[in-house]
Amino acid sequence: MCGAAVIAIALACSDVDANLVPPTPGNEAALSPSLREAIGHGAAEVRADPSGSAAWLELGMTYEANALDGIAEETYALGARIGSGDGRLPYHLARLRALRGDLDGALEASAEAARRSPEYGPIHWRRGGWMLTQGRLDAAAEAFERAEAIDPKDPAGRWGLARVALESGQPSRALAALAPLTERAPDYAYTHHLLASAHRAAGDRERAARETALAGKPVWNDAWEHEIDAWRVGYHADVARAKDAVRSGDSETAAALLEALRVSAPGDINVYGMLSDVYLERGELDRARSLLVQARERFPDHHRIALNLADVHERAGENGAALEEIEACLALHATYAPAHLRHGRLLMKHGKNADAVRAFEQARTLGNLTLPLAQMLGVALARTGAWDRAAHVFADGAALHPNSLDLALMEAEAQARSGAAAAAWSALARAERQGGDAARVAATRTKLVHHLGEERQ
Amino acid sequence: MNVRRVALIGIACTACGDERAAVESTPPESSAGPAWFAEVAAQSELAFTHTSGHRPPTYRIPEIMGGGAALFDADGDGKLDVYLVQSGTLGEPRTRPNRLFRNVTAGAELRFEDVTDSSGAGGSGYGMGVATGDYDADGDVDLYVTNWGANLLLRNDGDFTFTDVTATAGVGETSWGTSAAFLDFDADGVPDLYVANYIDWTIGGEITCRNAMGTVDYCNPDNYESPALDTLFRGNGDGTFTDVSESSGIASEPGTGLGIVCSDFDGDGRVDIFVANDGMPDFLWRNTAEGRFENVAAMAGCAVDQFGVAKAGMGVAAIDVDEDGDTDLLVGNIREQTDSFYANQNGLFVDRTLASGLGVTSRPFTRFGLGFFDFDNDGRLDLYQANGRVNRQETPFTDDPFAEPDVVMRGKPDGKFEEILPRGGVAHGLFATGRAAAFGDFDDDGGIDVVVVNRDAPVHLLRNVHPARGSWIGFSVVDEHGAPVPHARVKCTHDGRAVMREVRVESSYLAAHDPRVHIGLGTYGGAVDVEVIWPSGKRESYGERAPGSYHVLRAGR
Repeated sequence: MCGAAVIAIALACSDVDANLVPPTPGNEAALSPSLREAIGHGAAEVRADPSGSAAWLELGMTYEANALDGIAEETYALGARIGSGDGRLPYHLARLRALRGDLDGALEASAEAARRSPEYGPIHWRRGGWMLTQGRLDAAAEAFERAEAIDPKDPAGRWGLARVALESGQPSRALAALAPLTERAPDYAYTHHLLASAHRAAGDRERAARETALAGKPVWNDAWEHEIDAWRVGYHADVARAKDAVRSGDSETAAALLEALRVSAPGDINVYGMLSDVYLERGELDRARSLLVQARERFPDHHRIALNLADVHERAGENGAALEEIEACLALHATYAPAHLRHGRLLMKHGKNADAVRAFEQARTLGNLTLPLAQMLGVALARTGAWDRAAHVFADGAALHPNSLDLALMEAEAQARSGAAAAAWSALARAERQGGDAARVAATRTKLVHHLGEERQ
Repeated sequence: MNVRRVALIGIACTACGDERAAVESTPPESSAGPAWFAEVAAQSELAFTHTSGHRPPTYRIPEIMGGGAALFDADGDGKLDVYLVQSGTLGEPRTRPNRLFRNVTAGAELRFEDVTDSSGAGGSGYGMGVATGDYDADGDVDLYVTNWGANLLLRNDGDFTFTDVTATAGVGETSWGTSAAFLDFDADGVPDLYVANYIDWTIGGEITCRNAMGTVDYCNPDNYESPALDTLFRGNGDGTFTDVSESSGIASEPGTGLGIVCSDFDGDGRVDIFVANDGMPDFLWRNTAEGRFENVAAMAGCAVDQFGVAKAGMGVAAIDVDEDGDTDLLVGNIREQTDSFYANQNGLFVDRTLASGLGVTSRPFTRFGLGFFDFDNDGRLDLYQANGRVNRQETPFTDDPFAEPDVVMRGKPDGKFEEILPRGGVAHGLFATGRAAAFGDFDDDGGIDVVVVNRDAPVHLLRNVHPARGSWIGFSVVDEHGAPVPHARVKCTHDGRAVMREVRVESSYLAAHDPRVHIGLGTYGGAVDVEVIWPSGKRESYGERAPGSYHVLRAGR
């Protein structure tokens, strides 16, 4: 309401632009120093050029990226008064208004965004979504069609059209709207969610069940929204940068960022965990160990420290000590799924495969069948000779992780060893379709022929 | 006029965060109608202040989740009494007990008397919620109190005295219990007990989390990587229970359970269990007979929202909103997420959140306790939502950085809901960190009242003062011992309309409600034809009943 009002006033008072003052938070003292600095910099830029929309946009994104949504909204609203061609200011204003539940205000601002940047598709599918929420089905459909026309590769428009059909009580129309997506991009999990909804609405339980198994969340393609992340500062930004550094193999940068965080956030156990992982990755076992010993002094009863120490021992080849630590971890937190996973892994190293199976099954009960868990549980079962159970685990894992070549090949072999020829060849066919590592696929084929005594038909 | 005022504040007062929050969040006064509720806790002597034990700079997650409330007739005098669950301080002995209040209303004003000291119901542990049920079939209502730590079963010995029978009954669950419910899943006439557990959390295992502003705050449950397994106890019929979590299949999937509601969702004659999980897909445990349950939420369409997202489910409600004879579902979620309203269509659920108008109004708030009741007796269900954040706000409403206003939504003739103003249905804004909301009629006037437990603040007793309530009828649905029968269904036919209501004491969040069935009749003032469908499937007709009072419907009368 406030932002909408700012624009409303601005339309009547456009001569005051040069006097606009950048909004600053009232609780500035409570913010982190890095955020205060970023805000100070952004506000100074605005003051230096209050008629330049770029400075307003950057200040608004600084606020939004750091969860100061109210003041971000106000900043976008003031910046939007400038009337440049950049649609991002009214667009971000619209998004924040919508988050606050002000859909009328969101539609008003997004109309201005669409006027400035008519070819930016997300403006239109977001408008469609807000109209749909308001029950304006025809207008929503029109907006989704516009998004689809702008970028047919972006599924958001078509998803929106399917949602309009579902809201209209017309599941068959929803299915028709989704048909091009199922052919063009069968891996879109959200398409399957909508298909499941449509079949459910049509009372088709069988098809609904089939689509539900493949269903998931949408991935939205909105470059303007994504660019806001770059304006995040402080703890979360440093953690994100450290994680990015780890992912890109730059452990030196990651370690530097995390060491700085250890100083600025000394009570944060997550930092200890991440940092010890980085040191482990770098092979600096003593450093990781020393760090965790310090952490244990600070957090004597914390299961995660024990888990991290177990990792250090395991990496150092001290499997007995690792097992002791993991058991200490489980004594502190008996239902901690990651500890059961590590426990199972260590038990396997000790050759205790039946115990490992129990640990892995506990991890599965308490958590999800992750890719490593599916692999390890299946292998542990195989080592106990329970090939049929292993085959089931691999098959369950493959359903959840369909892109894993390892799982497909493991399943093929386990099915073959348990005598399930059709399932074995089917799993191998899946592996072949995935491509990659032809030698391993060929080796598994040889095993299947050996165990099943027949060529694939 | 109003817009201009707001605009001037927005420009001139850019450093006044508090003012800005208040302005942005206050609906236009011009559209306000009469108050529906009056807050009368203090004048009614319902004196209870919840304490979380929070001491900055430490943020321990149980501190942001309690406490609970139960409305039940403790002594069989026909008046609704109140039990309120205290939290305390984590890791320290409890200094403030749970409180039991006797309803001593005699005249026009509600009055309560604190009878805790002599009741034996003060409890222990770090309190969360409470369930009610007659576990020992002696005709009075017992209490099951959930805690972070050991839960308690308090046997009602009459005359406002209770005995802790947790150990002998075998229900000494030590996980972090939240909402719980008595139900009869095996239809043997003996109450069973379901306990939703949140996460496996220890004081020593607490972690540090920061909100998006980078300041230390309460963690989200997924930070702990420790979802918990719920517990199902089967009543043995001799006052003891057997843990059947594993054999029933309930222990096959961990969750982050906060809200629970039980009903025969698929119409197969067996009571099913819905659990709202926080940040994980919700559970719909379908009762498949022979003591087994299967989670069918994903297939049935009520595990995730219309975007396939597992929301932060907290409070739940289950009632036949669209009057098609089956039980629909509402799940309250965290701010920036809509509620999830699932319309039941032959056991499959269709997300009707947007079509019902529930997609917008509540979105700025974090909804815990909630319930569908016909507060104005116009014949259409309304919705009350008790709100309060779990993370500190950028611009708080009050000194309490988690406080929010509650919201009341009115059911409209077109099947949609719209917010009533003044916000929260009270003349003067109430801002608190709302948790349990329990619903019932304290003065038997046909107006549903509300008790809201607020974290680190006094309880709210919201007396229904709607100035133009319609006609109504109510039912006390009891077994041969005189105890309420959860999940029995009452079918009322009047004026060409058939309304199905269930005896529902569980639902909302950490709460147990008035077990009586209440139906608003609008302008209809004639007799109502009444039938009861008991959990066993047996149907009994009770003929025509007059509106304007509560009627006792006893099994096998």
